[in-house]
Amino acid sequence: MLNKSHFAFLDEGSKKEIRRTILKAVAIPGYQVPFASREMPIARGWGTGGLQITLSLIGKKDVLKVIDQGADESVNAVNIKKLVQLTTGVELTEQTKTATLIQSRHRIPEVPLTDDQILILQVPEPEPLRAYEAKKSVTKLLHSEQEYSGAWLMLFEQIMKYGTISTGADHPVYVNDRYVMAPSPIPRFDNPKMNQSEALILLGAGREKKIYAIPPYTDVASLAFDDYLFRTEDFTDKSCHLCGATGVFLDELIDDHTQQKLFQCNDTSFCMERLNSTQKEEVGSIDA
Amino acid sequence: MGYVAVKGGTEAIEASLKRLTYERLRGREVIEIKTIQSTMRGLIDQVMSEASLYEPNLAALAIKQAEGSMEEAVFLLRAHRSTLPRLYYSQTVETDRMFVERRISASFKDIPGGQLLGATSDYTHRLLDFQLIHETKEAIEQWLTDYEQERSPKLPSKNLIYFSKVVDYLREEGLFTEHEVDNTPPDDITKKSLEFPASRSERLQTLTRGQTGAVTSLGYASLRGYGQVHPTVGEVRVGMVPIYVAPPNETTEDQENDYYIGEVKITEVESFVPVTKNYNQQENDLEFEIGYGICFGQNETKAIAMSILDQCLEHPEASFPTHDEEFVLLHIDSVESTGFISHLKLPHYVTFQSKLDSVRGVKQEVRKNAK
Amino acid sequence: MIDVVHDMQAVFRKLLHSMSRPGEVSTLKSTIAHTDRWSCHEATYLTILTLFDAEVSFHIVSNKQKKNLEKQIAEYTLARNAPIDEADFVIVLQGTKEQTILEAMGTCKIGNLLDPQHAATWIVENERIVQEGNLILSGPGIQQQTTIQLDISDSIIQARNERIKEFPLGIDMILTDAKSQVLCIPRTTTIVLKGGTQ
Repeated sequence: MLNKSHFAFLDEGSKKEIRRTILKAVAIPGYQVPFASREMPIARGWGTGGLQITLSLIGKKDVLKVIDQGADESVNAVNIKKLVQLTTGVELTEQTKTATLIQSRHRIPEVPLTDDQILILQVPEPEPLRAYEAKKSVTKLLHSEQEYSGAWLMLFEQIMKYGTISTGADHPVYVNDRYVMAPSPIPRFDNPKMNQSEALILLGAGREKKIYAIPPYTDVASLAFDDYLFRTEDFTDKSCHLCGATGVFLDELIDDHTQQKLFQCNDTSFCMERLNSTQKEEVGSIDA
Repeated sequence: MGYVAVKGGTEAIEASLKRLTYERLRGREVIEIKTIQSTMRGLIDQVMSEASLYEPNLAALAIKQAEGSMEEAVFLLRAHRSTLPRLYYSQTVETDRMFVERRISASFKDIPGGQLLGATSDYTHRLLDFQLIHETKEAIEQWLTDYEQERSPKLPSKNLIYFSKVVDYLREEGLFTEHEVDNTPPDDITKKSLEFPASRSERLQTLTRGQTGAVTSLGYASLRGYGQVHPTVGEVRVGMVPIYVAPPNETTEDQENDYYIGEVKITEVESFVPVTKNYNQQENDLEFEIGYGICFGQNETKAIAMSILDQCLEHPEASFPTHDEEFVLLHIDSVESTGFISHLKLPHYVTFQSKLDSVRGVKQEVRKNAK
Repeated sequence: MIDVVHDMQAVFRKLLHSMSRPGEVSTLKSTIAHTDRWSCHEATYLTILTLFDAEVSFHIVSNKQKKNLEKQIAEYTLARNAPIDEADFVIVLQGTKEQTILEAMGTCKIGNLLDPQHAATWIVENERIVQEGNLILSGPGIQQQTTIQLDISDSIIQARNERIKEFPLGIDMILTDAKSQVLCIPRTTTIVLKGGTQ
């Protein structure tokens, strides 16, 4: 028996079902549309939802970028890229602006996305109400009735207990004034990038078998109160120790030698580009 | 020269894959697919059942490639299944047409057609057989020749007999409710995602491809008291059943035109569970219901556990997790559970940084309030 | 005909682009010369071939003979022909009378609150669709507003507006024309007639 691999791995029937689901998801922003979700050659929970979307979208002319935790070279990102390239032969890139499809886990790139790009986010848990309701049949009902008092109560309890909203990543958002949605475990820092985004954003949860979407130019508001505002992670007075960037999401590192705390751009390709452009300025255009 | 990204991830993966191959090859032994197929029957059956793909050859290949890891082998076969077009549904399989290799009932000492023990490890003494260490092909040949000779005069007549179902006798007595044959086409959980409440066809499909250990555990939990189903095994049967598909675009129901596409070995269990039926609010009557279990290959423990869970899920009113279909059906799939558990190995430093920020925020708030 | 892998992929991307940007026109093309005759626009059958399979049902709305097209769709895609109130896709052929369309519009699926996705997607043929015109569109996917021109009558637009009133319930539309152009109007889009009301 020989290895035979179909273009973009999935059989055409599976792609059709995923494509129909994506169109529905776009038509009902923030609503989790169920889909069959095929088993992929990478493990469930490792980006199979995003991967199935990518494989159903991708064509020969696409340029693909995959990042995991902001990094192009993260092992899981490399592994996903490898699979897509093996079955499609598409061009890969690390530059955000040259990519037509960007599959990402836990980050939205720092470089603003444009309207000829599609961002595909991997989602481990698509249900924003799961934290207080375990049953799928119940959360489905709550969404249908737009009954989100539980989500508000969760934030309220945090304020009562801690004096502030204490959510980490995956802070819930309100989409198009209708559905409360899990933005996937992106940091709160990235939530505002979803609002009125130029690029289409598709979210895929393979294990939980849900696809949902934020069309371009759609209202996306992070859940918060008038007197307790939504707060992104705070990097005031901090900058990247490599490229000097401020106002971006930073990773916190401990220097091996000095035991000092260091900060570094989480978006590795963004940092690299900045480094290269400053170098260009310094040395002129000799070997650019 | 510009800055170039370090290809750390790519290189690490390449090295890791090489190391994995090294671990598989370092013993310098080749295991043949046919060796696995003819000696690892239990493993193959289990992999095919959990992968929900009946193909002993590919199951053996998956086992070889996975170095015997169950979860990996199941995963490989499931992923392969994803690439196959699914064009037809088979005709309904009538299990009373099974070519029975083994069939027992725990409910009756004598059943029409008799108990047929077949091949089972139930009555082996679980003592390690050290002679197997030095088993030879010659010894195997000798044993087989002896066995054939011993068996040949006892071969049954050429007339095929079908074993009817044990439950049929009880139905005649009115101990089971007669149900209309329900020929609604089953929902296909591989083509449509599972939504709740689930149909029985969806429940049975999910259970039959469940991880053997998970299905067994939950069935066991119900039996011990975390559930209300205490069955008697009406019948366990193991054997081959023929599979037919109707010609495409054929509107006639004439079975003569069906194509025979092969046979599969299955284990089928019908458990008898006494239930109280309430008539006219006042009168209570005791009747039996059937818990149904079925799986590819010979895997009796799983099929029996499945029959318990099937009955549990038919009675969602009981307040045990084993009667809660979301709890049972969403947590028994091998590929899903192993995938999500193992995803915890992936880096989570963005999420952690975000949490760190909010914990610091909370601490600040507490300090401010303390002043 | 259609290259089932690469043409369908390209068609889908155009449809997705237009669905996520209501009012933006895309042109659908196949790379393989067609040898089969379809009694509908090229954009219509390319959409059908891209989205239909045995798992979906369809209904054709037309005043003309439609048996051949029904048969052809079923043979090519294995999709099932179904009554209007059950169909996942509703296909309106060009030249269909307003009254016939209005009746279909009133009875097609719009989903329910638990499963708003169980709604009909309409594929509606036009002679010509034009970016810029008398219909003002706004909503998700549209920066402020955009305008388009269709051959569909105002009363059909009004009937459509009636059916999307209770968002998330509603219908999503894929409009095709004789020049292989498509444009989409999902249920989130508000349509206002220039100089008129919704």
